[in-house]
Amino acid sequence: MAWFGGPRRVMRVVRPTFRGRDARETIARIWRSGGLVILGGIAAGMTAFPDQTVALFRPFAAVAGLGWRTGLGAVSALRDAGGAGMRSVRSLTALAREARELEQQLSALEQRTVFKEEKQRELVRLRRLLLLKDELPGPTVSARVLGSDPDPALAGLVLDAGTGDGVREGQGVAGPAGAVGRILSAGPATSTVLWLTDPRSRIAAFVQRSRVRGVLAGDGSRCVLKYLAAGDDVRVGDRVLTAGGGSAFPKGILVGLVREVRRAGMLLEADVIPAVQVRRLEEVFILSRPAGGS
Amino acid sequence: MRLVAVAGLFALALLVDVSELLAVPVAGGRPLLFAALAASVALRRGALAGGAWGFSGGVALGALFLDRDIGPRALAGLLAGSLPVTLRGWVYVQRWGGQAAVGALAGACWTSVPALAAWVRSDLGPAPGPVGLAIALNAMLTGVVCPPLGSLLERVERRV
Repeated sequence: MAWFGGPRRVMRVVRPTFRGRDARETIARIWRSGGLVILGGIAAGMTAFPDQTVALFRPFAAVAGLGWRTGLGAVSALRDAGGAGMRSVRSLTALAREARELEQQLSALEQRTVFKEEKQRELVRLRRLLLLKDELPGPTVSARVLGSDPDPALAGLVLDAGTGDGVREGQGVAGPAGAVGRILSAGPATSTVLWLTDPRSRIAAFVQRSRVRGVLAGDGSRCVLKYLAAGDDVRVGDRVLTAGGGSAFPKGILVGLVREVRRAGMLLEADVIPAVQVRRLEEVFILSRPAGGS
Repeated sequence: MRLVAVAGLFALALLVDVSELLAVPVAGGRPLLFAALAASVALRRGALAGGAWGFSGGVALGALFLDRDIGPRALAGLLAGSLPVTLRGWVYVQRWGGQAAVGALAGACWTSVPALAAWVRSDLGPAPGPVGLAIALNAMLTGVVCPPLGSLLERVERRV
C-alpha cells in the first residue's frame, strides 16, 4: 500500500521505537484494517471541533494560500485565454458569415446595376424611337424584335406584332437609324420582315443631294440603286432616302449611303450600305400605310 | 514518481474544481474532477486508497478556505473516495456506464456532506430544494467525467 510513501516513511520514525519487531508489517496491518476508520475519526474530530481545527491549520494557511493563489492564478489565466480564444473563434465565425452575406448582397447589387444599365440603354433606344415616331407621318405600330426566322425562304426579322395589332403584309418597317424592310407575312401575334437586302425587296429611292431617283433592290448582302441614267450625279457618300409615292415607305426615310458607283450597260448602278444594322435591332416601327409598292 | 504524478493530477483537478473552470453557465453546476479521480483510484486500488486521496483533498480545500468546514470537507472526500466502491457488486465497473455511476455517487458525497453539516449547524437556508438540485446536477456531471478521468489515470500510472 503506497500512500504518501505510507509505511516506508513512517518506518523511519517508528523503527527505533519498536525494538525487536517488524514495525513495518505491524503498521501496514493496522493501516489496512482500520485506515478508513482512522481517517473517519480524524474527520469527525475536525467536524466536532471546528474552531480548534482552524487554529491548528492557521499557521500553515499562509504557505498553503500562496500555493493556492499561484495555482488559481494560472487556471484563471488559462480560462481567460480560453475565453479570448473562444471569442476570437466566434468573431471569426461571425466574420465569415458576414462576408458570405456581403458577397450575396454584392451579387444582388451587381445584378441590379446590370439591370438598371439595361433599362437605361432601353430608355435611350426608346427615346430615339419616339423622336423617329414624331417625324414619321401617319400612324405607326411599335414592335420588339423577337429574333430571326430560321426558315431560309422566310429569312428576316420576327416581330411581336401581328394582324391583331393592325399589321398587314407590305407595310414598311423602320428602325431608329432608318428603313429596315417590309412586312413579308403577318400572323395574329407576330410578323416577319423582309430586309432591304433581300433579293425580293424593291423600293423606290432617291439620292438626297442630287435628287436622282432609282429603284433600290436587294442583292443578298447589300442594296443596289438601279436604273440610274448614265449622266446622273451620284457620288460615293451620298445619302439615299425612300421616295414614297405609294410605296411601303413615306418619302424621306434614310436607307443608306452610297459606297460605289459603276456602269451597268447603258445605265449606272450604285451600291448602298444600309443605315440600319439589322442584327442589332431591338425595337422597330411598322408604318401603318396601305400595302403597296414594288 | 508515480505518486508525484498522481498527486499532480489530483492537485490540478482540485484547482479546476475551485476555479469553476468547467462550471455550466446556464445550470450553475460543475463536474467535480477531484471526486471523480478519487473514485477512479478507489476502483483501481481499493476503498482505502481512494478514501485517503479524498480525505487529503478535503483537508487541502479546508486549508484554502480556512473556515469551519474543514472537517466536513475531509469527511466528504473520505466518503467520495471510499463509498462508491460498494457499487462494485451492483454495476459493471469495467464499463463506462458503471464508472459513471461510481463517479455520480462520489460527486453526490462530495457535495452533500458539507451541505448536511451546514444543515446540522443550522447554517443552511430554508430551501433544501435548490440545494438538492445542485447536488444532483453536480453528481450527474461528475459521473460524466469519471470514465475519461479513470482512463487518464490509468494511462498516467502506466507511463510513469
